[in-house]
Amino acid sequence: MTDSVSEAMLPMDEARATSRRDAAVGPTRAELLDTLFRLHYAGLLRLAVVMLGSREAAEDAVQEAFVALHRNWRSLRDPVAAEAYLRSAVLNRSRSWVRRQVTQRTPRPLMLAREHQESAEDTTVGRDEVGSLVDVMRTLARRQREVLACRYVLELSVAETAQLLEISEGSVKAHTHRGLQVLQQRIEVTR
Amino acid sequence: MSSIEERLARDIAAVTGGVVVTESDVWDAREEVDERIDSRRRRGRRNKVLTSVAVAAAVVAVVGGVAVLDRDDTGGGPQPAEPPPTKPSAAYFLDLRTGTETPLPSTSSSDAVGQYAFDKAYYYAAAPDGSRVFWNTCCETLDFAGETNPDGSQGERLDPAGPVNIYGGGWSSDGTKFVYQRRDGRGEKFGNLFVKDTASGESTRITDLDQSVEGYWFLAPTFSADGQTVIFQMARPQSDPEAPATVDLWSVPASGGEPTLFLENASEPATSQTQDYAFVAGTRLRLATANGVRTLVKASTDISFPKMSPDGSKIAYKVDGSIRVLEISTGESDVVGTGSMAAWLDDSTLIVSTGTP
Repeated sequence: MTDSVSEAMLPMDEARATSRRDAAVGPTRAELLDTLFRLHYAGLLRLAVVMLGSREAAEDAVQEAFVALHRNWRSLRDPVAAEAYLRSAVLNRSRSWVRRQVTQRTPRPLMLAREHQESAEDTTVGRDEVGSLVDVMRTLARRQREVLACRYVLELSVAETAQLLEISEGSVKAHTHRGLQVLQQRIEVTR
Repeated sequence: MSSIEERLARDIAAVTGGVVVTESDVWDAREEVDERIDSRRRRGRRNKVLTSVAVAAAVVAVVGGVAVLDRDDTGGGPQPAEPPPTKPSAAYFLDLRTGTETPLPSTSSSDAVGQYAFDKAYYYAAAPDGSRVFWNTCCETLDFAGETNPDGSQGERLDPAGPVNIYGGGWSSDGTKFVYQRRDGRGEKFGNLFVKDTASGESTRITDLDQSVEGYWFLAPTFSADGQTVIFQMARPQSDPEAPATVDLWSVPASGGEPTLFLENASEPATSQTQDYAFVAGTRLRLATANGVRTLVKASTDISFPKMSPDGSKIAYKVDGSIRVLEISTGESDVVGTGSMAAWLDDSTLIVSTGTP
């Protein structure tokens, strides 16, 4: 029933942008946010869904990234910097969301116990189901999953990944290699 | 590329390919970000004011040794919060063209039962020609329902004696039928849906719902535009009665039959004489048309009682104690009053309920 649209072709309502032209915010900021939304919202949402596995949580993470960008107004003036800022903010928020989930579960020992009963086999690819390797990817160490997300979701080069995550290119290669190795091992356990 | 890389790339593509982002999604997210920014700005201002006041108070105390501030001399300090809007004591007609509020008339003794009367009900539904108005109280073991003319004349009780309660519901667009829910008020069961022929006064049970299920029982039935189908909400059975209910929309022939699932994770259907219909999905009010489904409103809290105007151009709904009216063509939504729900008497007049369940 819904119609998917290309993010580059979204008809944003001009009047809506105009209505936000108040002195406190200034017209440029609202308009730039509109543009950034058009260009990057869908891609960022997909990144967050891969990282979090939940569309609702992903929407929250992406929206918070835009709110943070609004606070850091100067980043908006350079579209490239803004894009990098948003990607980095989504990755950071994905990390804190996972942490928050764990914290919220703490007072519920039964649920926590059940969660912790999850063995290595549980997080392996039990069936050759399309998309299931992404579930396993989420269980990797933080740096490994972030590097894999940059390389295979955002399709960044090693150098671009290093720049975004502010780590060395050698670390990117090492985390990529190690992350893929763990994924391979998890698959092999089930064979 | 190694096989594991290929597989990961394939799986990522499968996951991201399933993330459909519509124009409406982008719009909603953009609005949500604006709301968050505004909310944080307001919070920041409030904190700033409070900090200023605290600093000023400290300075006054230290410099002047004054322990008490003159209440009339608080010039730049925070102003007292405005009192909350006064809730009218009885239901009222609201003329949307002029903003005039006119209390509903008291009813004749024949339909007034104790404190429950036409002007003190919780739910209203007006016939398409505005000639009759259904009302019911909610949500006690003994609830009352009636029907009357808008001027309060020719009132009649509709519910049987005892804890057998009737809840609307509404009329078909041609005014020949009225659908309502009838249930035993002593439990939390659904009861069943009935359709009343307004000419003969005869009612027909049109569902045979599972009466072993207890929980969120309100079915909110409404007719489709052609009057041939009744669309209603129904909560899924759940083991934890305290957990929030998951509600789906169902449809059943207006002449009776087996209900079929109409729309998952949706509630409170609203129809009109057009083919379009609205429904609630969480805190969103959505509209289904021949061109697809789109979000009309995303609220910060639950939306309830969406009601489409007879011509299908507007939707009245309740959110956070306010009654709002949304113009579908523009997407603009304005607060028009305070109340519990609003029903359309005609395309420019609402009956606003102020009762509490």
